[in-house]
Formats: sequence, C-alpha cells, structure tokens
Amino acid sequence: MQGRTQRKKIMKQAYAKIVHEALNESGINFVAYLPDDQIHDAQKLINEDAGIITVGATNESEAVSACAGAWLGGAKPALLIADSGFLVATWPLASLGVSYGIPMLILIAHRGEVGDRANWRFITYKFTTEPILQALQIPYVRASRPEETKEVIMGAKLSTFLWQHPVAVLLSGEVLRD
Amino acid sequence: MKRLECLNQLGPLIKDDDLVVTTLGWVAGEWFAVRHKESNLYQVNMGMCTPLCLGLALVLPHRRVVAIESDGSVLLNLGAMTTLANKRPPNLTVIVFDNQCYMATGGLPTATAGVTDLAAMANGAGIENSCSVSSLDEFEREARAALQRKGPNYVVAKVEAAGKRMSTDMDGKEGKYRFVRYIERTEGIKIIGTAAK
Repeated sequence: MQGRTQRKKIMKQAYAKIVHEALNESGINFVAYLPDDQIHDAQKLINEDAGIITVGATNESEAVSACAGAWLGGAKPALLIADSGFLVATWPLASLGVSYGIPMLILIAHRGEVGDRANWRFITYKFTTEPILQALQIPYVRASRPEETKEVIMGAKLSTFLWQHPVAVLLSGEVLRD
Repeated sequence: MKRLECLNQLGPLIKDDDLVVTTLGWVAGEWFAVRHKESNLYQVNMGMCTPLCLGLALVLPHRRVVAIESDGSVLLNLGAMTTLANKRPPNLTVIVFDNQCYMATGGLPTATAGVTDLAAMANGAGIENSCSVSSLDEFEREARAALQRKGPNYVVAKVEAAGKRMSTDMDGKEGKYRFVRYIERTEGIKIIGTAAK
C-alpha cells in the first residue's frame, strides 16, 4: 500500500503543476479557494505564486464574491474548489455570476464518478454537481486525464471571459482519486 | 440616527475616484439618491458585498473602496470578517448600517437586536480599526477618520429602522456595464473583450 500511496502523491504533485501552469498560461491572476485534499497541492503552488492574488476563503460563497469583485476591478479570476464547495457556492454563482453576467473560471475537483473508489459520501456529488451546473446554465467541460487538462482549462478560460458568464471545468479521473 | 442622514454625511467624504458598493435593500436606493456616480455598484446580494469589495480592493490597491453593508448581509456571511482581517486591504472601508432588523423584508429582528455586537466581532476577527457609532456627529468623525487612514476599517452605524424603498432604476447587468466601463476608462485597461485574443 505504501508504494501506491507514494505513487499517488507523486501523481498529484505532477498534476498540481499542470493545473498551476495552465492557470498561468491562461492569464488567471486571481484565485479564491477553500482548501480541499484532492487539489491541495495545486492550491499550495498557487498560494506561493507571487503573480497570483489569492484569497483563502472561509466558505466558497465568499470565494465567488471575491472573484466577482476581482473581475469588476480588471483581474482574471478563478475558483478552485471541491464538489461540496460548489454546493456552497451556488447562490452567489446564481446571483452574481448568472444574474449580473460576471465571468469566472470554476475548477471543481470532481469525485463520485461510477468506478471511483470514493466512499458512500461521494455519491451525493454524482447527483448534484452536473445537474446543478446545468440548472444554473453554467457551461462545463471535463478534464479526465492529466495530458488534456491544460488545453481544457485554457478553453474554459477563453469562453468565460468572452461570454461574461461562469464556465466550469470538472477535474476528474484517476489522478484525483485516493 | 437615520441611515439616510448618515449617507448624506458620507457623500461629501467620498472622492470622485472612490469605488462604492452597496448591498441589497433600501440602502441601495438611498445611496443612489444621495450620490449617484458611475463608480458605484448597487444591490449586491446578501452576504456578498464585503467579499466582493475585498476582491476589488486587492486588485485595485491604489483606489479607495467603500462597502456599504447591512447587519442582515454581514450576519449571513460572518466568516468574511476573518478573511478581511487576514488579507488586510489598506484601501477598504466597510460601513455597516445596523438597523437591527430585516427591514426590506418586513422588519423581523436580526441578531443585533439581541445580544450580538458586530463591531466587537470585527475586532475579534482581527480588524483593529472597528467601532460602533450611534450619533450623527460620531458617524461623520469615524467615517472621515476611516477614509483617511490605512484599513481595513469597519464602522458599524446603529441606525433607526426607518427609510423608504427607493429604486436605482437599474438592473444588475446595467450596473455592471456602467461600473466596468468606468473602471476601464479610469484605469486605462480593457475588461470586456468581444473577440478572442
């Protein structure tokens, strides 16, 4: 088991680097987040990046509002959250993102796929994340493999700012699983 | 002390290039009546005004940002106080009009009608420049002082549950476009682009 755990750790660190680089190359310069174990490494890298203003929020609704303010001030904001945090973020995403038409890139570390080793708690997100994105009319794309992640993030970034509307990327697949 | 009286005192303290964001409720229409400018953003929903202003203040550190808040809005997202305290934007002043009730939705009491003290909570969160005022003279003095010193500043104005519903005659999208175009012009930047680069 130790070998697998170690391999996972290395994979997650490599993946974090991909996410961080994709945000940098996209021109994202403001990130709000709440720490989450699946994307902790990326959050740490971003937090240490002097070129990105970060807000570690106390809940994800606060993070959405901070991103909205950042965009109004001329920044290119992104949220880096988990499925549970997306549920918390829904009201400001509806109120600011959808009603005002305020863009932000939403990166969701998505668990609860069929075949995921996630426990009983995560079936909730199978039922909530995608249907709620659809209900909010927030377009989303999935990045399931590390090698496609950068391109998917950069595409979502392009659309959110051109459309003045939030766009989400579901970061999923083996690399995010425990 | 009435909120509208306070807003009338606040108006002359605000410089042309200050950015002022109001929460939802009658305060939005009142501020619109007192001092409507392109540099205002109105009617930001409950719990979202202070964190939105934090984002704005961090991105534009050379501009003064004023959040016009309400007790109901602040209570909805109390964690925002701690984030504000820790990020310490020197250019952000939060003014909370605390009428101790949810006036726009019928007047049921908020926690501050009971035992809760928002200025003490802000202080406990780590915002040293936090105070509570209950007279117009005090309000003017504290608002002026807050706008002249490094923030974050947190002024809680205890006001009567009085006022009237006034409209900004603008929806969120119009408010956004006006505000963003103003930022683009005054900052010399492009925020809304219509073609991929």
